[in-house]
Amino acid sequence: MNKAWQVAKVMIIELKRDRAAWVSMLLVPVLLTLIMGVLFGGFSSGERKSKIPVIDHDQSRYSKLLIKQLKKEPAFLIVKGEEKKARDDIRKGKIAAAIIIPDGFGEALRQGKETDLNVIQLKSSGQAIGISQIMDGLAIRYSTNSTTAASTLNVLKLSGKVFPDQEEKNWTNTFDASDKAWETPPVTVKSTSLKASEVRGEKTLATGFSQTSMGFTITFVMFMVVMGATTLLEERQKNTLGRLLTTPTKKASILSGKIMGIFMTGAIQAAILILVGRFVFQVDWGRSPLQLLFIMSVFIFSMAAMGILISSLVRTLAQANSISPVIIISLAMLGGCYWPIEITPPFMQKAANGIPTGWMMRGLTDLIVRGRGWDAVLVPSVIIFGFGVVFLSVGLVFLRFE
Amino acid sequence: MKLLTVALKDVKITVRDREALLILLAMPFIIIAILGLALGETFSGSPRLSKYDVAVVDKDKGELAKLFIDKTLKSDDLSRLLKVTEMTEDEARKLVSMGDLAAGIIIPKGFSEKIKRGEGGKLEVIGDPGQKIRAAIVEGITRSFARRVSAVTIGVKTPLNILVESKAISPLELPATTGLLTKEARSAVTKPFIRVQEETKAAERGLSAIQYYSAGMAVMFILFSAMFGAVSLIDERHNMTLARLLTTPSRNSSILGGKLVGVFFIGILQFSALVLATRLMFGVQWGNSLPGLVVLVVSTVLASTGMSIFIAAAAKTTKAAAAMSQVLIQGMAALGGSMVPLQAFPDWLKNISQFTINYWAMNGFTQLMNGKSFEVIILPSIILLSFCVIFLSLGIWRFRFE
Repeated sequence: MNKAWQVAKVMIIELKRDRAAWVSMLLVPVLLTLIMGVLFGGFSSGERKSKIPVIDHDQSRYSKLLIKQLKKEPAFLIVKGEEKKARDDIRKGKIAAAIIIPDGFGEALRQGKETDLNVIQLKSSGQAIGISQIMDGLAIRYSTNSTTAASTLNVLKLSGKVFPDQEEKNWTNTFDASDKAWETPPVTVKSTSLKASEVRGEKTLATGFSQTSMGFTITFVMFMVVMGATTLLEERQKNTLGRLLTTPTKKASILSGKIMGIFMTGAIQAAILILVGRFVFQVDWGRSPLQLLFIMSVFIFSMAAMGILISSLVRTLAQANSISPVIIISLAMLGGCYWPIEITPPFMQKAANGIPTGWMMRGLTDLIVRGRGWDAVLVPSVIIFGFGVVFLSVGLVFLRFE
Repeated sequence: MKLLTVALKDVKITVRDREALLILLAMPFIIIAILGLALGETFSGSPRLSKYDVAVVDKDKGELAKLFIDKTLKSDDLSRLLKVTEMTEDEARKLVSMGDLAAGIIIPKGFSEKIKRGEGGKLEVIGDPGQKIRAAIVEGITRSFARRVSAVTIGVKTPLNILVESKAISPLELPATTGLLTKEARSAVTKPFIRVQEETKAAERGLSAIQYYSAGMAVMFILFSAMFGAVSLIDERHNMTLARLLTTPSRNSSILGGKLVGVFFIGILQFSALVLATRLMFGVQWGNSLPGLVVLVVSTVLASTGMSIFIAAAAKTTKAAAAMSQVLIQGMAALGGSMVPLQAFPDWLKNISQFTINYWAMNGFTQLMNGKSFEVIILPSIILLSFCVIFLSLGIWRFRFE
């Protein structure tokens, strides 16, 4: 056991010296997490303002009022636009949507006649869906205001309470009164995100960030651990393993030492990643460090086993270095590390249940996002551990030392 | 001639290397297939989610709750997306917090009654933070319903206040007027005379996920062949075969040139194979301009060839080269649109994207796929060639043979 420990220790010392590993283990993850966080952050929350041009062909009191209300939308930056340029920008994918208020909008509103509000939007843009909903809301608001003003005026006229020269003013006043009522609408919706344990008090970065950070951290932990495991091949190539075998150290000690070393170097790197995520990007890693540690350890073991399996099946380190990223990226994509699994078709969601990353994402989502406890990590951990055992057994059968 | 001999030798080695072929061809193909399957629906239109369960807690049992559940949530339109199950609040909270349900809607007791009396009300949506998109959709639907109820309330209350204040109606007339106003307000909501016209534009013509990622992954995996090239150069330096070659009458330039031409040939073979395979297996259209496609493929492969010597010059060991390549490949792929479509990028990030090989290659390929003619690839090709020149000069300047 002591000798196994020595073997493991050497690997950790080597890790400290290996600058290349540090680059790939910190720079790439941090970079990618940042990029993806920025991209997907806007997907579910509006911390990034997107520019929406409004083209006002009407230039009436009401079109201006509408624009004023649009400007209050926190997620969008409403700017004055020009129709041709806006259409061009949408076609080029530069902006998500544009709003066109047609000529005669104000007049139609006054008369209670049908009129349009045009939204030009980019296909499959999350922001465009948001703007449509806002416009739908405003259309109802203005229709109601106009109807209200008209019916009030009608009744007033019938009862002779309004002079003809005051009709216009009366209509406007009612419209404004009705519009003002919308500032505090009578029916509201309270929306809450439910966590199994409601303990989150601290402000975190956009939630989209958390999901992608989680996915990317898992991906990079896989990279580190699997690539770390394939250094076995390097030793075989340099024949240092063969040399070790000539010493009185038993094969079992060497192997268990190697596995321990792979596991520990992976754990150290994962810990650094999680801490960087936590303190630099303020990723919410939940309030259950113990459970996180547990499922992470199981995952690292399983991935170390996968690395050993890969090492046993390929011939050179170069091969391992090239095949591993592809396996890792495929597993990450299928498991839902790169995008929310809910946007994929049902059979892909089922496929995620057949791979360790799918279970890891499920466990972490339950643990961190939903705030559940041990019950959330237990089943995934057992399954991921099972994968690890299978990988390791197959790997050890095929692994050659020389 | 010697240059060609060296080049052909490298090509032969790669073509015979089954593992290399697996990585350069089979893996991108697999990833393209996964991406196409997972994201196919997301690309063609707004994300079409698979049908999911939603809890409704009807504590109201009134007219409005019935209207909302039967006419909105269970309408033909929505029943394609939502499966509504009525349950108690405790059940709903438990299931949502466990992540078993994406969202629940709670209609409070006496909701209909209060609205009828002209008072306000509050609907509640509880969502699973692990299924944000689904929860957000349920929230949007509920908000839209709340808005419609608000509209009727405002449409009745505002005129009544004004009419009563101005004594236009007597208390006796109040019920009749209220009835009339309700009817009008309702019609303003069910048939708002302001219609929001949506005009959806695909950025250029929309590409399917499999089309987009065929280009994205082909470009990304071309860079992997650059990594192979770099690793092989360093390997030869390490094994002293480069130094040995130098003792022969071959000049430095023919040897290095030969290696690079080899990388180039391999890249061309790889890209052509990927284009053909995606065309035959997935029916991916690579555009109508064969000359455009050829020029763009050549430029892309040249840029990646340049990158290989740059990496070989900058990294001392194969391990460092692999790590550096990972940073470069993953970083450029993420930033350049190989992983996430550029449309999703905010403006400032798009500016950074332009410093990647992937951006320009993707720019050209997607335009070709959109049926554009040869002109569109001129600018991307020139920029890709500049990448090649810059990488080549830096690489050759710094490259050491021993």
